[in-house]
Amino acid sequence: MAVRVKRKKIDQDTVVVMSEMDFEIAKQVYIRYNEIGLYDEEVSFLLGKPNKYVFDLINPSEKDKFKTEQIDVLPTILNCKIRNIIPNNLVANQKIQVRATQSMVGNKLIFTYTTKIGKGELTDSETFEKTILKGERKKLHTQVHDFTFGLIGEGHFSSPKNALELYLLYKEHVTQSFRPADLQKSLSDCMRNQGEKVAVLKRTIINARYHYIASEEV
Amino acid sequence: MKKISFLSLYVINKVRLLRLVHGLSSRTLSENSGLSSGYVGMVESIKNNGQYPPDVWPMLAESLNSTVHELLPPESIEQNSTGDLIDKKVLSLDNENDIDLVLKTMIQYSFFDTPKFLTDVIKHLFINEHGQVKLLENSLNKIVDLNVLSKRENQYFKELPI
Repeated sequence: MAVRVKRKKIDQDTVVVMSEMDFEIAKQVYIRYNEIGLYDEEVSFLLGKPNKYVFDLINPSEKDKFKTEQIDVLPTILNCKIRNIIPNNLVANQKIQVRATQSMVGNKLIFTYTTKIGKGELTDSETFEKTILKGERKKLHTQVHDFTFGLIGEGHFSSPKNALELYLLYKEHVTQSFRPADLQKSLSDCMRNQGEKVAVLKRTIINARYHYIASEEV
Repeated sequence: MKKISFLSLYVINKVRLLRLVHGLSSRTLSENSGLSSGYVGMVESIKNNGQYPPDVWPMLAESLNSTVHELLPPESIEQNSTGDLIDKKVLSLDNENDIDLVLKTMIQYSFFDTPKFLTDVIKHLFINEHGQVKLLENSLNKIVDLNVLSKRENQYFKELPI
């Protein structure tokens, strides 16, 4: 199906100064989740955060970056070693100036940015992009969803569970390939009241992370 | 007890270990790292869940003559963390195992390549409690018994190869 390319919309430059370490970690996370084929929403889900969370941290024009407790779980999510995410050769207290522009081309949000480390030279511009998926209704992954109901029946959700520990558990037991988004869809479906269908799970926040627990209404 | 992530706690304890080994007070390390003078003391306290954010790791590493990667858990103990928080148990000179670790690391960093009195070690580690002095002395004597250090005329030292 042909996609009509919308006219390019460009926002003004933003200039942000941040710690080089924070910037490099965000960059390495972006590189890594793209390498392994995850969407940023899936990384957010596994971190126990709202869908937009990782995208906002990766955004080069935003100062907020990953916290230590999130870096703690990123190697598990990204299937790598912590030293793949954390650079070792940065100058102490080095700041980086990031000048970024964002534009919308078709369904892609593109950030173009240049950086300047300390008093150094401006780098060549780099881009990072995100495909905005609109209007797609994800189908339930049958085996994943069946496994969810099995766990609910066994009382697995009598205590709160975070998305990452669930994802690791499902990877051990679900034989068909699936994505974190499939697990997210399954859990979301279980949290929805629809007609005669009653939510069997609910979501709660513990230590600033979403957790899933059996609904009391069941 | 306060709870923090495994990675946060590992970095806190590694920084504290290296700080003690290098004979730096928490205030000195804070100031050398360009941080406020009470910063390191605050993070090392078990009364709060303070931790080191990633942007200060390079400063701490430089002040400790180390690298950022040396502050991180080695691959051999890297865990597939799912983010469960653990008790903030900071390395303590009230704990025999922790003192053993500090002394072992001091040996690796050549502190005992020149002979040291017990009082030198006490001063180096900023120890001022009698219980900690006793523990320290016991640990040193244990290390002597294991022939890792020697003791002569009340001085502890590492026998260097000829």
